[in-house]
Amino acid sequence: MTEDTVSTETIVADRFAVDLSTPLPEFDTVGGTAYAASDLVSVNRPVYALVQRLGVPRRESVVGKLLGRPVPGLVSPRGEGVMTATDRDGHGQRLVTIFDRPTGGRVIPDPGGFPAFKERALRSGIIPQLAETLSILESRGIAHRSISVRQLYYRAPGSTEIVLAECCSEPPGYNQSPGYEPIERAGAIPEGRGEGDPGCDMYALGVMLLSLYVGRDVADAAAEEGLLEARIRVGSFWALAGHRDLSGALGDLVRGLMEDNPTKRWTAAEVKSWLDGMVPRKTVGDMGWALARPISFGDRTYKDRRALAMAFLNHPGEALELVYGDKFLHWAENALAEGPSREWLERALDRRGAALAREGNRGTENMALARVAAVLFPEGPICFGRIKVCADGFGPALAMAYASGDDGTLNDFKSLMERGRLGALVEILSGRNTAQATAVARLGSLHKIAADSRLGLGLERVLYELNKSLPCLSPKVREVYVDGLRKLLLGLEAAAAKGDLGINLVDRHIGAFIARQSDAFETALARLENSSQRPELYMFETLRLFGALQQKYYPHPLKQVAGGFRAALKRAVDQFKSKSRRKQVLDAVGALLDQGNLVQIARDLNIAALRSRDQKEFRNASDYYRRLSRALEQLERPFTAFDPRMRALGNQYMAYVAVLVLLIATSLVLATSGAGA
Amino acid sequence: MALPAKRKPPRDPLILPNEALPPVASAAQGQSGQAGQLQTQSAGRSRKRWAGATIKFLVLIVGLGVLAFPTFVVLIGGMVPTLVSILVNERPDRHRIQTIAAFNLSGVVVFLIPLWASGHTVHHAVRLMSDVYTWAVMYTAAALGVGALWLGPQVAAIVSNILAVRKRRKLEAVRAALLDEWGTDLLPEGETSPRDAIGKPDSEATCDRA
Repeated sequence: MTEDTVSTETIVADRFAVDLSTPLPEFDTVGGTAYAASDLVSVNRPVYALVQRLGVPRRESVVGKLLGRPVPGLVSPRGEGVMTATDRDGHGQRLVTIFDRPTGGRVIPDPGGFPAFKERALRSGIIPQLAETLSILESRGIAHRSISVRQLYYRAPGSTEIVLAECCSEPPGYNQSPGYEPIERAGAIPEGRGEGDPGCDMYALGVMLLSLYVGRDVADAAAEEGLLEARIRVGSFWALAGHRDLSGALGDLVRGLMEDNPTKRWTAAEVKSWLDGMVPRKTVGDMGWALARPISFGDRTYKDRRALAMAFLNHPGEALELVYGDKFLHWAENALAEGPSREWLERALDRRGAALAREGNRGTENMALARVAAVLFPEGPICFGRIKVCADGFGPALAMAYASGDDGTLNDFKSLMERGRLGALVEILSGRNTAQATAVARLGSLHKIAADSRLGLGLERVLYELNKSLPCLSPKVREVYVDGLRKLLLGLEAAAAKGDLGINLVDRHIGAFIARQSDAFETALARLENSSQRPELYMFETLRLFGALQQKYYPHPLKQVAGGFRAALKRAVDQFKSKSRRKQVLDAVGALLDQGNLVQIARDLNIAALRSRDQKEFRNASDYYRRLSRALEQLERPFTAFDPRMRALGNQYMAYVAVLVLLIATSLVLATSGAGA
Repeated sequence: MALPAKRKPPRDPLILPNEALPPVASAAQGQSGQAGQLQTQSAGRSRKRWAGATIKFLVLIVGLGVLAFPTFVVLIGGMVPTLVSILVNERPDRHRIQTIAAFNLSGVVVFLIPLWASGHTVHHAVRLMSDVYTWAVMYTAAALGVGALWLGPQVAAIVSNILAVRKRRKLEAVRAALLDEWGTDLLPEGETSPRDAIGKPDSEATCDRA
């Protein structure tokens, strides 16, 4: 493609031409829409572009580890940039990621049924390639989290080289059937399955190999009710294999990969050893899933704490009756393998809140169930109402709730953040969910921010804290990809140019985004919120905030944003009583607004001091006016000759006249007598 | 290295400091009650001073009678109106006496200088004083002084009214400038435009005067 036929808007990273008129739906993900693209430098390298949805966070850490260092068996990112496109979120700037394009098509076009792969084909073709790919990913600290029969491609037509689909554009595990997820993550909602670890990939590899071997996607059945319970009861391999045993070495591999105990599950290195003919044997500890004393719930008896937790979540009313009954604590004390103390259990289950929960308070009931689930299944997801998210999947789940505008889920998130609920769950999980310990600790540090509803904090702040690469989702800057404070100012400038933003530049998203980017503005945001009921002060706080932002991040004119302040500033200045001061200040401010110089307005315009001075001078002027009026009143009265003062003044005048007359008379007499003599 | 000259802070053109305002109280000085009080005190002091001056004047006259008798004869006869005005004046007014005395003396001096020129004799003085025209001139001159005292307040009132109009225009211009700068907030409550002394709007008051 020549430069003549490619508009500058479609060029990404200075070398990739994106053709938005040619969508590639086979590469679409929940995080983005795929389009044809070409590499203008390496013309023969096939690539495609994925236009990222605004609200869906890209896995930035994964992109960072793969950009410039592609993995041979993986559809790797080659470049990235921002371009203007239209997607389901509307029209505007979007992040575009350029990926290697596998042109050989899917390995399994129809996962519902396909010719089964022979063990030899798997052993010689697919397994070595995937083991190598996963080994490289593990060495770089990447969990792919999107391994399934649908995600396998041939590199090129006629090639046997297999590549895994990209794993950057959507929340980890989102694209998986629950059957591809380890039990502790399978119960989570798709967007909340979490980053996971290479062990999750190895489990998914096992399910995929099983599927390839049996000629159908065994995890399709994962949607069926009760499959998770079956996996807990008989083990994932047996539940998904449908009681069809795999004999021989392949059976060892698949069973090793699908091991539910993460410590017993095979690693990529062990798969490589298996390819060399060695079968690893692992000594593992007890995970403590089995209950020392089974418990009857409903019409069944439970021997596994994970299954019991799932059953409780499915039957909340009965579960709460049982949990807050007289005998449960005593049972839990003896039945749970870790042997929790009665005090810990009482604190964890919050028996004082039980009464409220049974009164039908939805938030309290959700919390009571969440506590029970955290006590019984700490490795599993945090379960609160609609929210079922792993600790390391909290960020993407929250982002997806915002992206989809799912008010129900967002309300559950808000409810979870209230009254220290998340903090209480984190306390229960701390030390008990070793796989997600870091994520749990992170949530522990965030729950206070989440519970704080001030501007710059709250759920929106948590959204940006947990999804650091997420652009600002404020509707005010929808058309610009705002991934930093400089871009935020540019976005607001563009939005102001299109419509009247006025002075309402900061909504909760923008506040949270600013606070996330720099904690230097937290005080300014707090002041802004405190002034929200006082329009004029709010305007000046906004001005100060954006003046500081302009000074630090975008020292260029912001004429449109500044223009939004014109009317409000005029209203403020019009309150001055002095006409010349009004004019003087308006002229000065108007000139700065025309220059788009918020910095100087914010720095130099001290309206409070000016107003104080204006009022003081007005008092002086009023006082002078009163004295002037009194003087004028006196001058209004005409002077008469009977006025004592006029009499005195007249006498004085006439005294002068008389002296003059005397002098003239004397002079005349002297003159005449002199002439006579 | 020379230090930069210390900059004088710029004067805010918006400020109307009190010292910059024209004095307004002097416009009607003497019409207020306070001015009247001051005048009464001043009159008391003036009366005492005037009594002392009268005594000095009488001593001078007696001295004159001893040393220059012909002049004394003419003065004692010619200056009677002045002496009478001094004696009958209940409110000693220096300017009033000065006026009558100066006019009276103008009439007397017409005869005194020829008296001195012709040898300054008692005979000549008696001859002058026996002429009715001499008395007529001297007393008419004193009467002119009284007339001037009647005319003086009239002239003073006319002049003061002319000056007051000019002063009022100046102050009204200042008031208009104040209103222009600070707006009608300066007006007392309930007023929408400046008013004159009797409470009419300024425009109506101007019409009335016209």
